[in-house]
Amino acid sequence: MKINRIVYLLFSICLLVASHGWLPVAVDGESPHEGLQPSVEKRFAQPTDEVPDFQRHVTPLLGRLGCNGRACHGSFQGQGGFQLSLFGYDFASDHAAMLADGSGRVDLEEPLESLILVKPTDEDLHEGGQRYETGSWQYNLLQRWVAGGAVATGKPVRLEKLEVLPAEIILSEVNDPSQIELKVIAHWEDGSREDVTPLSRFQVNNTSIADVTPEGIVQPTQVSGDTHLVAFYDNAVAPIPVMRAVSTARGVEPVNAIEMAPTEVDSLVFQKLNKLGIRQSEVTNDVTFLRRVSLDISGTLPSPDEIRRFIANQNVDKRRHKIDQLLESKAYSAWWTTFFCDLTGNNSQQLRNLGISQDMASQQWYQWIRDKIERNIPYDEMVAGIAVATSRQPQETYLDYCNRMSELSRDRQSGGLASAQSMPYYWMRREFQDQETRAISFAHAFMGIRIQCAQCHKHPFDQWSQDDFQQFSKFFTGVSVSRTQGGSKARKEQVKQIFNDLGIDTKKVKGGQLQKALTKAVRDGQTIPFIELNVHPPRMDLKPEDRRDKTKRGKVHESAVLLGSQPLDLTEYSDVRQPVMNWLRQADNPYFAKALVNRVWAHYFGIGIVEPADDLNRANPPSNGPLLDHLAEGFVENGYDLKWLHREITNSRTYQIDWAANETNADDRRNFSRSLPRRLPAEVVFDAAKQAASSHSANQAFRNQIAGRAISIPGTNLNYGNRKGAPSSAFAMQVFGRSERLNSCDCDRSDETSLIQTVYLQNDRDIHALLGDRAGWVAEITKSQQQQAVSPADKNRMREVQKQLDRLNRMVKAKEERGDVKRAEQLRQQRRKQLAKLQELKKQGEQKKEPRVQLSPEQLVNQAYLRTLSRFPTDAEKAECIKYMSEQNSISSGLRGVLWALINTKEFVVNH
Amino acid sequence: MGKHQQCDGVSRRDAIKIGMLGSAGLTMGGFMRLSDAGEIRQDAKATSAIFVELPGGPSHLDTFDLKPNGPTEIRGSFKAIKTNVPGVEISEHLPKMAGCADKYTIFRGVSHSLGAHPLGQKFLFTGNRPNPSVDYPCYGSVVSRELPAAADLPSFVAIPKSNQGPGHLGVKYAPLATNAQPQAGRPFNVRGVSLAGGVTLHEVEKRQSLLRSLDQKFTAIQREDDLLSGLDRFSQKAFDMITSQRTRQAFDIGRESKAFRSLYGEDAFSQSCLLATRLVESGVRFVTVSLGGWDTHQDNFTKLKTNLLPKLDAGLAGLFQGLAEKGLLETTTVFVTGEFGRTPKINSRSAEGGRDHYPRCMCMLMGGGPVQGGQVIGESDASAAGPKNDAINPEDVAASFYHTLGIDHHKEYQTSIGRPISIVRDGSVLNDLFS
Repeated sequence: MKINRIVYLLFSICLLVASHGWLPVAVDGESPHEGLQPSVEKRFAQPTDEVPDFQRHVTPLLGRLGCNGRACHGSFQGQGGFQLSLFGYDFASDHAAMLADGSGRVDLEEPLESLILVKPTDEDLHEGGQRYETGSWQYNLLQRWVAGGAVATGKPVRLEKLEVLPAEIILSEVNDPSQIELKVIAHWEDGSREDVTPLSRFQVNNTSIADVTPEGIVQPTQVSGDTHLVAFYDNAVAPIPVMRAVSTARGVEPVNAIEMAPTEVDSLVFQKLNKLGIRQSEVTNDVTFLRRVSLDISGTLPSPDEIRRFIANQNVDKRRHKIDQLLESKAYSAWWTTFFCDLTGNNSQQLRNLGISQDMASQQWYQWIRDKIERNIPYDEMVAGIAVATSRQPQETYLDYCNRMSELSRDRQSGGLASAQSMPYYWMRREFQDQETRAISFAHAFMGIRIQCAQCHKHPFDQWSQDDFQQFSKFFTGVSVSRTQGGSKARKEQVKQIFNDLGIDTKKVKGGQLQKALTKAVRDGQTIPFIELNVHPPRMDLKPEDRRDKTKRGKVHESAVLLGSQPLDLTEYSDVRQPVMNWLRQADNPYFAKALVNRVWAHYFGIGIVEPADDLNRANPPSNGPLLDHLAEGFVENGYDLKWLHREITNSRTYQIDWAANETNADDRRNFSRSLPRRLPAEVVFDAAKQAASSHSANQAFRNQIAGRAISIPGTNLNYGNRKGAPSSAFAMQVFGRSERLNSCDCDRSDETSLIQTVYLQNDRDIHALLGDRAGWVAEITKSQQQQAVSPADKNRMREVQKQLDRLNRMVKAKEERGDVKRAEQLRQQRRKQLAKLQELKKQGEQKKEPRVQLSPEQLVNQAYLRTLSRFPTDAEKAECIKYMSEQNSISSGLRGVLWALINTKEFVVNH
Repeated sequence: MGKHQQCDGVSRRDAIKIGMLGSAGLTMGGFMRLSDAGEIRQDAKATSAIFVELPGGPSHLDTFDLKPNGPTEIRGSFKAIKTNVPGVEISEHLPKMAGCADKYTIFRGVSHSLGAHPLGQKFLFTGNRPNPSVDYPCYGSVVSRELPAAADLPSFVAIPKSNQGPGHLGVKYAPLATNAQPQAGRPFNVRGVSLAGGVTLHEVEKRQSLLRSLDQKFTAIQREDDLLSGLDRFSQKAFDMITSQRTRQAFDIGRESKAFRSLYGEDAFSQSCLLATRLVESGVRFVTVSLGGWDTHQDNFTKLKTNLLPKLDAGLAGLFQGLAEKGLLETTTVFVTGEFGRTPKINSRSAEGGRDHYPRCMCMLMGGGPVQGGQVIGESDASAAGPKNDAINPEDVAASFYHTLGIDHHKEYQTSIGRPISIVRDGSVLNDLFS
């Protein structure tokens, strides 16, 4: 690092010497800077004959000067009659804007009158103020470009690499941090290299650690921690790490002993932490681990008995076994199905008018994924089942399809589509029909990136241009949703025939009425013409004015480009979604595996290795690149095995550490040096409260009792499957922000806290109802504490005798009616015997009757703690609770109060 | 630390955290700023607002934009009556509104082009023309973010619920929905706010003190952790709200005097308007009241005459007069609108005829706050088929509405992906409203 700086200094001196024009500069024989073109700042400092290039110099300069920013000429309305493409990289339109007739921005006849020269100097009043001075290098550069004929860029030259030096900045090791100057070198496709420092833009992601001037001088603070500095030039975005170690312990003794790292994950985490001088927290205790891992893997609290058993278990491998056991639970498959339904956007309201009820479609979606999770189908296979889904099974005719779907929509109990090869609803959502929305949604779900910025302008944080976006979105023009297959004659006839058979006149019955008629027909056992997902050649979207023009109709896209890849011939594919899926499945795909492992990591840690977890872009590098690579590569090598991933993460020390901070890691949130408390997700909060208040047996069965759980609501109809009048999770889902599954953003699920959430837990009728549930724990305990009971065996005996008595009574009556006095008297005698027997039994019962095992207040408090906070209370806590209970006038109100208080602790509502 | 900048340089986390509560959804970011909250621009008069939404699309021709001299095929059977403002006439079935026309301004000839209910409502109830890539927040969500209420009160209440949500601002700016409408002479409870489950105040206090003694686990790291410190504060605030007399009383319309209650009708809409008045008086910033049923494709006149107009008349007139009587009209903007007008031509779908969706021409009302009442702004043509001169855009009305509250409609928010979105995209303040 120091050596590098000396080289730069020497280098700059050389540049000063050779200040005019482009001279190959050699510092020494081995210099990496040989053949490096000096910066425009040097070359245009004095009048020169050089003519700058539009792509390499003019456009980046306009970016650096802020001309194409949103508040200036990058605004979609332009500014002062002059509009540039936002964030640049649309060379054709920018060039056209500058040379447009009457714009005066570039005046080829009177170059010096060009507005791009006189406006930024404020010579001609410029609303944006003075950007540079007449005669400055910026001025000279633009002036030379105009004088040289203001030549445009033809096909943009590809920038192979943007190199930023130094490649890493460790502030704590720099003697004079005020002197850190950045150098940015562009490596072009044609082999040329240029110092583009003065044409680059810079940003530091977390400015509390350091800032950077527009000129590329790093300005550190005294705050320790780590972040990235990002340089932007042309379409490139290049980050370098910037960090300041937390403790001086570094170098004195190894902070975390890498050789002691139990797993590869830990080793990679330690390596980063050691750079920062941060010591990882201690491994947490068994009960904290058990609660955390149960909530994370299965969305369910451990039961009190399970906790006791786990504590008592002496097996050194018990944590590993517990993880395996959790991954086999039903709650695991339900909870992670919810995760993948969030990811793929299983939104009931988007599934209207498909012929099947929206709730059913959502349920089929859910079941389809649940089946894959339960069987641990590889992730890539599951995604392929969605990404290249079709409505019909292989070889299935349209009529067969309609029959099958009609059948399905009558049978609520069936597994639905669970066993089908693919799940087409992803493509059939109402607001996901145009190619751009599809491209955005697909890239977000399966690649973890947000390309929507590039829909309208160059992506400000990634290399994507609008053209990249358009090219990519073409892959999403090959499927559409219709009943008539886009209008083939035969199909139209077929559909017409089905409608005729149903007696529905589609000329008269339309819209909502048609839906109603179809719903009724299906319910009556008839087959209705189902809407399906049609696969067809990639249709070109016509402008509205061209839609009636027959000559323009039916055009198809012949090629498209995968992000960051080469053009593909689309005519080779019968389904143009296939090449996208093939590309995702390539082992070196930069997004597919990373996006998923990062999201799963974020699920376990509350923060991604890339954070936000759905924003993989160049300006937002991972906090630990090798860790992300390790997980992604391992995931691919292990055949996209989801359970491998869960095990790899949860068996690490890093997952199992405590939340308590040590003297080095209190401020660290991004390097996994301690466990960060996270608010429980909406579904889990509700289920946990319900479980805590449920009876002993219900509590124990909770992890494998999925029906009625909030973690198994299929779509976004929160009331789906709720019995009327029963306490429902619907309101809690809104209050705690269950995912809306609508916006191609992981933030559709809220992890925020709000006052209304606290109000809910303290005072909502749902919570009161759970605590007061007659089948719940408080009622159960109250009953057993108060009542003394006859033994069940005695009870049975008495019941038998009573039956006999009843029978005899009936017989006596019947005989008397018939006048059979003799027989009636015999029966009466028998009856007297039985009566005496019953009285004797009752007497014995009373004598044998023992009080049930009564739980002491201490035991009750233990129970309450295990049910809610999954641990035993401390002595002080126990005393508080017992005191509270003793002041209440009944056992039930005492218990309710304690349970209420525990559910309202922070410890309950966070996973820690 | 996850503080990654978005399209426009604000981190998404920040974007999510900026600002404040929707309903009682006070967030931590917002909570920390509470001390600065409630700041209102000097030149604005209104500090709260009531939005009356009339989903279905009320007929402008039969309410506030009659054409007594228009052609018979459009005129309908209703007559125009004079109001207490010379020259301003409205429907004969709105007599009470005629008696307080000095308190509101009528916009006529408001025009747009979205003739379907969901789209029209999205437009009119958010002030922004729907756009598939942006989910715009409704008025109440914006207002509760800009002008948060005190901590023990919800900022935004919807009676019984609102047609529009908080959009890209997120659930924390969603309204506290009462889910029910108050009924005359009956106690009214709101979920979470009124003590539930038969628990007494004394019990709540005892439980709360137990909770405080038990909730000590994270004391060591609590101060440094946003999540934990926020939860800690909310715990106290929730207790305040649940036990707050002010909050409970705000929802208790039974506390109004009989004389005051008689300003309003007895039906659910009127009672909702009464509740809205009380809520605003207590410090709630934004209340949405809803009266539906305006989609009168059939039997337009009977439906209006026998049901809708009497309810609207009693509720709205009660609202204006009630606010005025309590001295709240000067600080409360009232905004009344549906999603579109209805066709001038009377259809023949039923014996009596009906009117269909018609976005090209509609009317709206606004009063209170700095609004100069007793005016008509804009004008429709002779057959109420379009604006006579320049159309008033819904965006202009939106901008003007925010202006009454001192909210700059140019202000930008960041969406979840960091895209900057101004409160009202296109639209300028109609200065006539304030003259």
